[in-house]
Amino acid sequence: MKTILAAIDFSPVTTRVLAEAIALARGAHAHVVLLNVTTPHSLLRDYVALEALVCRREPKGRMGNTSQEMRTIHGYSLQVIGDPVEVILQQAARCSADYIVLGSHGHSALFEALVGGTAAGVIKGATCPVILIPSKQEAQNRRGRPVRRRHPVARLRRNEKPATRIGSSIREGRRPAWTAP
Amino acid sequence: MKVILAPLDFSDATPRVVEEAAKLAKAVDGHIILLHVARVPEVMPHYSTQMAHLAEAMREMEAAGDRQLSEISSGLRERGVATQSMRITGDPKTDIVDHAEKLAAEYIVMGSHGHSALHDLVMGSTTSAVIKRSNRVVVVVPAPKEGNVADGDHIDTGGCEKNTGKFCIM
Repeated sequence: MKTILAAIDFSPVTTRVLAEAIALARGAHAHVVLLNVTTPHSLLRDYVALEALVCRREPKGRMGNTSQEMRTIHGYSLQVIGDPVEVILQQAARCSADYIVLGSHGHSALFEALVGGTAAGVIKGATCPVILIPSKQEAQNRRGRPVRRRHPVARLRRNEKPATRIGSSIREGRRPAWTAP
Repeated sequence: MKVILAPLDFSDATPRVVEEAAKLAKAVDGHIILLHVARVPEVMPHYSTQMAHLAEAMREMEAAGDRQLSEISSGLRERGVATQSMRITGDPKTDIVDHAEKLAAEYIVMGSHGHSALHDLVMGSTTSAVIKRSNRVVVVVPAPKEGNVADGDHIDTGGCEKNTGKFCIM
């Protein structure tokens, strides 16, 4: 039975990390180990089950699907205090993980850095493939600047007369879109 | 079918990259596209004498790349994984990401280090560049360090050998 270690820190990339881990687990018939490493100063007063915590923190719409899916795969969750890189590598060795799933950046998302410190450390020390989920959504162009998508320029549709679009909403009795209600 | 792009450089890391790509394809029901980017040699010791042979050298490299690619892809197809292979000439750092966009790849499977494996660095320069520029999921396969491979271990090389480039530092 294969094992997938998914390291999460409840940053925006966590939902995607979970989704990928679940998809992979389903396809590879693996079980998932959810690992959250906390540093001592962010210690929770009450230890709660990790699944419940994940469900509470995420907005209902998105999480609803994930928690449903989470019930269909086997696995367990862990919350450990310590240095994230060390703990992730230790746990990976302990459960002989076949994959480690990680976001490329976590909370302190310095996107100028190539990958966050945790991802860098884990990649360096891992003996199994590390699946990096990109934290930023936009691609970068060759110079390393974000690709900017320009808004579509207003173009006339086929057979349309030039003045049509401007006055259309007034003609139809609606208020134009750009006025305040 | 999900697309898994596996850029290869026929270094020590390649056998494992191919293996992991095959496992991933089976797991997520995807098909693999093997990509080899043949690099124009950047450093040539004796410029004038080698220039005459540059075209020949390039053709040789490309032919060798094609041969190895076809061996690997036929090996994969025998195992039941849908595979395609591509060989382009250019700069790996930008071309891999461009092709990932063009082919709408969901995953990019790469080794952490390639030929010039400085294991003190977290990742090789090509892998770093790809991670920086792409917004796909990148699967980083750890490259074998010297001494890690024990004698007698069975490794499925998929038929690829180390690329012997005569003129250049790859």
